[in-house]
Amino acid sequence: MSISEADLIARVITRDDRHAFATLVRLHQSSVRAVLRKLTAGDAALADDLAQETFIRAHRNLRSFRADAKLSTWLYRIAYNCFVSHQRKRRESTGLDHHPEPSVSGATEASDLNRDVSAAMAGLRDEERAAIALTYAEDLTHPEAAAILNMPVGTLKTHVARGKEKLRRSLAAYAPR
Amino acid sequence: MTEPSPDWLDDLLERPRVIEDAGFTERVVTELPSPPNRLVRGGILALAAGLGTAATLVATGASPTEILVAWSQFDAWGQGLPLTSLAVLGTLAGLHFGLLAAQD
Repeated sequence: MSISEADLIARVITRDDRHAFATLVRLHQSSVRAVLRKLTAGDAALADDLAQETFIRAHRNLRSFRADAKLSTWLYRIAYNCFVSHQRKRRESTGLDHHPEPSVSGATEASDLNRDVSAAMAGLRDEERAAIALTYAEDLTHPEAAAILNMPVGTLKTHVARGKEKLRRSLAAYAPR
Repeated sequence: MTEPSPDWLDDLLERPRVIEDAGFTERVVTELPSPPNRLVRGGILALAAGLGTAATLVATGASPTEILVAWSQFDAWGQGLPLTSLAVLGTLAGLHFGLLAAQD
């Protein structure tokens, strides 16, 4: 018998059950890490550091999670906030906007396609990259993605459309002929 | 030249990308802050209660005996004993905050 997500959350809150929390991490790690890899334009090491911070923050604040919400949406929100905090710190320390470099050497598991998508994502503006990363995130609707990014749905769609136009040009080699 | 399908980019971006756990979950769980053990909780509780009592004794000038008397005359609180009642309430407040600290 499988235990529901709500039961796992209750176990973590009431008993500080580490096994239950590990199960929750296993269920969501792939989607959270995938979104963070898109946000960081394929920097797998940075994305995993941010994902780790995401789950640790989630563990600390699990009591504030509303049972009527989706855990995945809540985790994406935390992940995006971690990413924004990281960007801000980096900007403050360097005094420059950070434009992510596509990961080339560290992505051992990445196919050519993933590498090319990462490189193309790195060429987008921050808001376009974030809009695309969250719009195409597993299990996330447009209104949910817009809420996480704190922007109206119309603005989200504009960023997605502009970003996709750029991606269409960068990834033209993958277009069917 | 044929126009590319309008959906090819959506297909590419929507493609499910499963990332293997590869020890990630274990690393996260290892990094979680460890919960305070019962001994530490008890220590915090005792310390907070002791500090609360001591602070109350100093503030009100009540002796430990007066506090004990106040405890034993709980039903007489409504009729007087303002100083010792205050001391007892201070002790209870110390215990209360001690419990809160232990929970955190």
